[in-house]
Amino acid sequence: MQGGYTDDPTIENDEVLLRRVPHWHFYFDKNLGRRRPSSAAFEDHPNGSPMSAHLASVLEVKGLSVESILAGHDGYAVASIIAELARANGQGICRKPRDNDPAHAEVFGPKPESVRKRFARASVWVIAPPEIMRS
Amino acid sequence: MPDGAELAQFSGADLYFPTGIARERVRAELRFDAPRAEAGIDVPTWVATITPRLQNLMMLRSNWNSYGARTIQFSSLEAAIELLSRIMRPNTPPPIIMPTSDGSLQLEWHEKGLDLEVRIHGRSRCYVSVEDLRNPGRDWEGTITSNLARVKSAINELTDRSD
Amino acid sequence: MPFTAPRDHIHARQCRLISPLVPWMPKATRPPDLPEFERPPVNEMYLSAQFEPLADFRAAHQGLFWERLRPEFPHIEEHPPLGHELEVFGVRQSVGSNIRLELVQRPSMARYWYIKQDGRHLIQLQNDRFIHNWRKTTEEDSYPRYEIIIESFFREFERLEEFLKVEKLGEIVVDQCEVSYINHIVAGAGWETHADAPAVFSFLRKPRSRDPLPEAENEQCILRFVLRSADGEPIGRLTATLTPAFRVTDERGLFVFQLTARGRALSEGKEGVRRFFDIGRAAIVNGFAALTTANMQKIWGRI
Repeated sequence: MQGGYTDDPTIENDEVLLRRVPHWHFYFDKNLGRRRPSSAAFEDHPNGSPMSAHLASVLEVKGLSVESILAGHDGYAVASIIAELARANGQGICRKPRDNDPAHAEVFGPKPESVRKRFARASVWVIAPPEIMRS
Repeated sequence: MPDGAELAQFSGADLYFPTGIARERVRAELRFDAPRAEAGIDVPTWVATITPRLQNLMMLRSNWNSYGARTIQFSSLEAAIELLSRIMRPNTPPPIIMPTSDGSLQLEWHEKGLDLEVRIHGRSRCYVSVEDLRNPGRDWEGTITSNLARVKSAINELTDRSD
Repeated sequence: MPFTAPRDHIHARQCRLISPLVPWMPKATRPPDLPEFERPPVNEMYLSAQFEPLADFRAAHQGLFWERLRPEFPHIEEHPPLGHELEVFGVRQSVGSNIRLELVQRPSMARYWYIKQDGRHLIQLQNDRFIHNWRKTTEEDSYPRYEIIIESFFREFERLEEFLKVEKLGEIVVDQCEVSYINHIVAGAGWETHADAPAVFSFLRKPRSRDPLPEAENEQCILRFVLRSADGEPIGRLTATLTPAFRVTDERGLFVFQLTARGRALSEGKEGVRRFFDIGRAAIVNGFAALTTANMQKIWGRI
């Protein structure tokens, strides 16, 4: 796992981890017959810090909607995976609240292609992609 | 189509060079050279399909994914085109081209029961993942350097397979 | 690149070079079973490391680097850049359509030659290539041997690495290595006219009396051989190029016979580059011995 991070046991296995997906990263999968995110949507930060996510339970406690994490990000969708899936794929989850994002968390651990693909396939749309997608 | 035809022009966030006063945008061209031995060879369909996508990707500014993603490196674009030029056939379905957070590109095909992803890592290396939903025992993934035979084989399978 | 570079080719043949690769040895020692010649017709040789382009490397940095080399390499020349080429396998080789992306209206990124006072040693540098050449400048010059040249290559290469580190221009990631020998085989010893090519090269056929055509006036060709690792994986190519020419000084007939081994570094870092250079050089020397006639090898003093 990435150094200096510790999995937070207070984050339950059924916690819903939300991830913003830009329009560049969703497409129509002809094999599945539906739109889904690319595995490229589940990467760590390019500077090496872990993948950001948002904890749905925290949004609920704070009285915030899921749409609140899309403020200022027109055209984005929101995909979700379950904490249990992340942990089953060698990840840990820790809370990293920010002033303007109290639900912010980090999903840390190696993310080879196989892990990112599993995340992408298992993800569920919480806010579906807009109907019109630019190329 | 004549030899050495310019197919498209590119400019983008990465294509700037510093000058004495300000950063100066430069232009890139996508060029097509028809094989000398075969007259009347047109630009493959997949080239026309991916060109607008590539042009738009080059315009991406940093943080394009809201999580700190970098602008797409011009060298990644060159590497992707070079690889496609080597492995694609004229009637191969065009790839979906995804930007990655580190400024590179990922080429994807998800059709005809095949899931094929090629992550570009510079001019000489890529990571390939192939899943055959119709024949799961034939799945494989790994780093490809100079020997493109396996990824070429996957593209051939994709091209020849019926829907 | 060499100052002579054959371009025209009318005949190409791909063969598999089935020969055991010489085991890699640390530093520069000559493999004991490699053919050796007292008077090899080497006119020039070079070692080249091609790397991922250094995005921030500019013409100004060429000048700064030259300042470090200038005491030993006082002369400088500017040349057009070389293309970024890679040997690949498992796909067709550049005989089909080619789609490429080119920058236009960009600042010039020339290739600079830094040349020693004697004119025999030079370094070539561009933002994705470092080349070390040795070349003859007079007929009396004798080839200093690979073991000397490779150490010189790495000495200067490390100076470049140090420069890049100080200037924060990134690290070199080599994606292709190249070693090449350009031989000038001059008429008058073992052959007289270009039609005598079969007397020099063992892969050419002497004309037979019943042939419907007269003997060829000259021959030009390219031969390519795949180089493989011990487990059969392709690691590079050996290319042998034959070009007839005439020497400018006295118009004597000449064969330019260039052998180039090109392929990927065999492991990370400089050691991987060295390993390919060693294997490439062995393939070249073995290839030279296999492709030339015994009579010519006697003239060159095969030991």
